[in-house]
Amino acid sequence: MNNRKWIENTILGIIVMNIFVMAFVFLIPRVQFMASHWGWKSETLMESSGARDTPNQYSETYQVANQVRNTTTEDSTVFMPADKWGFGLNRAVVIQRLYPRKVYFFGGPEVDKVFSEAFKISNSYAVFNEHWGQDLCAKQPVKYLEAKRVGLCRARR
Amino acid sequence: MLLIDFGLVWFAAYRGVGGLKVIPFKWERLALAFLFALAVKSLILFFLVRLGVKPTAGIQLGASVLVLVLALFIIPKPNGEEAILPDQKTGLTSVTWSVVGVLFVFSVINAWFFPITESDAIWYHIRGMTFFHEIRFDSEWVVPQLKQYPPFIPLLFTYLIAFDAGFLKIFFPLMYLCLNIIFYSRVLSLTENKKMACLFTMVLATTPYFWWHGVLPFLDLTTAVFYSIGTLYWFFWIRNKMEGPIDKSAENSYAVISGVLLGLAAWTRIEFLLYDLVPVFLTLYVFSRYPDKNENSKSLKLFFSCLLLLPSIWFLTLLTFNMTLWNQIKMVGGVCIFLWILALGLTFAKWKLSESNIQLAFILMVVGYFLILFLSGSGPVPVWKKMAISFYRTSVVHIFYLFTAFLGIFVFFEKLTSLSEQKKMLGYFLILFLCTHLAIFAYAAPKWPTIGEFVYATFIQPGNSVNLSDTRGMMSFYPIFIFFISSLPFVSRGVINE
Repeated sequence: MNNRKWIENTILGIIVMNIFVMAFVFLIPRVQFMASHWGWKSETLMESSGARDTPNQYSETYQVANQVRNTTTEDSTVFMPADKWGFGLNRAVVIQRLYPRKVYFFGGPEVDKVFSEAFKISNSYAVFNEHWGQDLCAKQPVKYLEAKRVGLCRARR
Repeated sequence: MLLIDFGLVWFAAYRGVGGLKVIPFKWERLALAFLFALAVKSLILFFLVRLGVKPTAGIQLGASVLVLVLALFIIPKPNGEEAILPDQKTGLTSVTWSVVGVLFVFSVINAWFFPITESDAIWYHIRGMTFFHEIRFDSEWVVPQLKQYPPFIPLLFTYLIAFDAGFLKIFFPLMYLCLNIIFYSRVLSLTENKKMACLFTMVLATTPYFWWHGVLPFLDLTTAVFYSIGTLYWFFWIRNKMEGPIDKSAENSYAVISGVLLGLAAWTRIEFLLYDLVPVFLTLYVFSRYPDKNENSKSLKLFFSCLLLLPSIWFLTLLTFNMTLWNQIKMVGGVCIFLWILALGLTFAKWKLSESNIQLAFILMVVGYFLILFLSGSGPVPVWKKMAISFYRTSVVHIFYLFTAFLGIFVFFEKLTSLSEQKKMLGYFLILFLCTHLAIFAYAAPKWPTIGEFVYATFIQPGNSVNLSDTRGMMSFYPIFIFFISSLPFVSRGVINE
């Protein structure tokens, strides 16, 4: 093999190996995922495990957030528990799905003050789970969400 | 509506690119105009939000018509001459564009299919929504760290949200396509050989990390596109200057294009202002080495003003925020001020550049960096350990670029000392880029405190480090690196049948 050939062959080899790796690491797993989830709505895809190269870390949060989104309206105020009460919900995901609703996380600044006035706001909701917040909904009709035994009620005192 | 609006801005940008008269290929002009159109759109949106005007579709359409009218009146109609290359029949051209086309189409399908669920990207999406609904840049819903990020990608999301388009990731595959088109055209301009352009474009297009980021809504592919393409045009500016005879018009055009693109990189990720120090330093070095040809400081003025405009706008905006972020961005802010002083000193105070002054400035900068590093090194990880970690990372992140990194083997076969000055300058650029990368990540707090954890995350659990900030930052290096390899005489002799 002369000098000319090995240079060209090395470059071609790099291209072939790149395609090979790209196919096995990204393309094929993504095609498989798309084939098995074809026709799913964007909202449902957010709740899936995601493709192998970019696993969805927040599928459970999306399940909760999407259900709260479908129950409330854009001008609603939603009170969410803080992480320390065992929800493990990702704050960014909750805001992403619920915006432009006003979302407050307990434990955050000024939340108690806002919440104490929540009964004045006709369109406010509280999200609770088995560890926290059930008393907030004791006298209210409750809607149980499918994920993680989470519920939602109108935030009134 | 969206297509009409973007078409208007794109056409205006195309007119502007044509007016620069240094881009010989139509496809390259279209791709570059696309990137400039995104920049113009982001600026329109930025000023609308800044002025408290909700950027609705109707208002944006009006602004786009205004931009087009201005472009038609101000910029004379280009003559539309195409570069004529010697007839080179190679089947590789169709193969290359088929490969790029298939990868592009597949990335479009991916971008359309997968919603935004990646952690940082979620915040960019939220910022895009808050810009549109709250008409401000410092929404209380966004965490402070994310508020300081420059607004380019969130503004693009705002654009699509305003037109009620659900397909928010579409710009990323288009960026990938533009990168490949412009890269191809630049290699073709340099080598005047289609086979070379095809082979090296295929290397870039098939590098898995690049394709992957063509479907991920992060900032890094965008910065890589702006920074690397900006550097390629910068190289042609410098080459023009070093080769002579000086074509002032071309020199100014290249200075504008590279300045705008390097500024756009910082408009996307503010730390790229630090990486911009590399082309700034080398530009001054070249201007100091060729003093007899140094009468055209207009290109320097244009370069600095284009580079600094966008990041400066963002720093001024940050000043209006009610938050304490300066600790995190003081180094970048300091560099921005330093560059303004330098630019004003060179262009208005007529500071004289000499080779010895530049070398002295370089030594002072290195000493200054180490002083800052050691004086500010009061974190939990000792400075020496941070440097060791950064050195390790800068050395090993290349495994994520897989086989493309193997192109480096050709450097060992090249007689580097006999390379032309321009190509040596590109080589210095690559070395300085790596040094800057090392310096930035030695200054920043590492994700894990020991090298052992990084080794584990590189080789045992690569999923943990494949998307770390320093790995993604290296994307800006590779198109320049591949371009450099394509410029080596040893390689071109081997590929071109001469």
